Amino acid sequence: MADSRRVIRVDALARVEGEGGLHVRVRDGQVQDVELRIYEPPRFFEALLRGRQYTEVPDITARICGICPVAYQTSSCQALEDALGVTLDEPLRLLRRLLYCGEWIESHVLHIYMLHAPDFLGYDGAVEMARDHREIVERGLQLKKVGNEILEVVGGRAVHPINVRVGGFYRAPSKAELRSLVDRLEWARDAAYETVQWTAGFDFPDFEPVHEFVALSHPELYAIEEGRIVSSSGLDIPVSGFDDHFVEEQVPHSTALHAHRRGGGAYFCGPMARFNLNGDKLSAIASQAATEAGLGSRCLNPFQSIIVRSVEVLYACDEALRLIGAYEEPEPSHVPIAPRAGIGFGATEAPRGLLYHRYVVAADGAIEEARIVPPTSQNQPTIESDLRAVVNANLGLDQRELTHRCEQAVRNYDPCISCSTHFLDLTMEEVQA
Amino acid sequence: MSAILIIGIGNHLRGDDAAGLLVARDLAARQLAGVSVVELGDDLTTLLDHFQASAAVFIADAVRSGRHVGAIRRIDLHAALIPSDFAVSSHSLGLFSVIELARSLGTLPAELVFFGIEGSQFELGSMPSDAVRTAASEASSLIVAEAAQLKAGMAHA
Repeated sequence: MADSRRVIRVDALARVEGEGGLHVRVRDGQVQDVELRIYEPPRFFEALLRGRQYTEVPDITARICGICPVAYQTSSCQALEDALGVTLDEPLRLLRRLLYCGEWIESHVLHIYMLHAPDFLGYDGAVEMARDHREIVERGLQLKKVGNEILEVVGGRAVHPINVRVGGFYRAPSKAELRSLVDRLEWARDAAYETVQWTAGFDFPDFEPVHEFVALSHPELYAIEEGRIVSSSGLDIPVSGFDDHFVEEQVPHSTALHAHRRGGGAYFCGPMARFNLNGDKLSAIASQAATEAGLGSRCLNPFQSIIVRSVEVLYACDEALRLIGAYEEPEPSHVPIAPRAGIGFGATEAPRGLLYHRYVVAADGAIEEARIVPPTSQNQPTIESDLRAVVNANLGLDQRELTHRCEQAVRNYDPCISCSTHFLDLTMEEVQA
Repeated sequence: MSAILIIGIGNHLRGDDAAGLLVARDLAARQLAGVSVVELGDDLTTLLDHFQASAAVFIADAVRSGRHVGAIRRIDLHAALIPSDFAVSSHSLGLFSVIELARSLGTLPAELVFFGIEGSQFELGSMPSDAVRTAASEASSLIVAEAAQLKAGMAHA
């Protein structure tokens, strides 16, 4: 029998954050290699933080990601507050949660409307989709804008918020400032509901891989900015236990480290993990929308993650309204902090999943060590595993269609590969022997 | 928001990718009457809001198109598309996609001009090259001259 080889190589993936490449090698009808090549700066920011004052960390780490800066700021603040022995009181914690809702809205909406939905509707991208579905795209842009408005009011700026500091905020917004968001958020909640209904109507390939889901969990709320780390295999640990249960390793084909369970395998964090582990904590309207969308109590198909993200947008809008309604202006806007030596741990749910930070702080407040584990690096082994299955199931497609299906599959995970550059050569190459 | 808006796009942590930011900072320091200056990084969809708020927009950004480092290329985006030989972003929606999205939605400003500065070093942690710094200063001057002509035209309209 003649040797039959196919290579699918996408040197730079389109419609994902940052830079990434995909390489799949098939031989004699079997997938041999799947490598998601991530060009994320290896440990640049961790090195950059060494020697800096703890006060600088939120602003520096915010620049790791332009789409989810609040996630990096919040995880870093939480870890440093842990190291420095301070606890935020309720009004400040809720204000932080409100800010995070804004980020979930803008990040998820960008991905749903601009990056992922075109795949399901047969368009090359959002531009082409806008020509046929103008009102829908405009709805998405306005919805994203509402998320940005929350970031501006609470965070001081939509991109790289400037109002976040260790211990709280430089300035707490007034009740009136937050109430100015209510009308737009009420519109956004309705628009988010329509988004769930819209995405629920897409056609989804049948694909339900088995994964261990990992997310934060909170006793009362759908966990966003705090909680314990839990998994679908029964794990239930404080954030400080992360390193005892999860390990990162270097792989040759990627500058991003791959994470897996210590003594175990790959795991999956992100919206599906949150929904599957904490779905009972969704607000009534979000829960109702999820049920109407046919999600059930668990979603196991990564292609349906677009519906889960839509549900989370709806939840974030609803939760933001609740938080604004209950808002009492914190006084002062931050808790007092005195630098001291310590080790601290923080984890929050970035739009893409669990984001873990660990810092060692010197007595004068300087950072001695920094460790940052982004959700996308934690999900990489899972993404590669799923890609292997997707390719195996679609070997009957021609090269162009199979490549598109692989790219679509990668976008299921909304990988934030690196937001460190907005600039890239985009090439695609096919090699067939 | 002023009738004339200048937007510098870039990343100051990645060498020549700071080109657009250098232009924006230069022009912001000049405090030109009737002109606003904005810096943008990763989320280019905010351009769509800026387009709707301004009559004339100038955009400065680093490009990689095979020309010599520091080359400046001016494109009237009503007359032409961003050339396919320019590097385009894989990050979220790239500049090309955002502009074409605005074109599809009919929200391009009346005047939209792009200044691309050719870069070569984009490694994380690197500094902008001398050629790009010089080009950024030159591009700033070109934008000032065009903005002045536009303002004069607006005043007589």
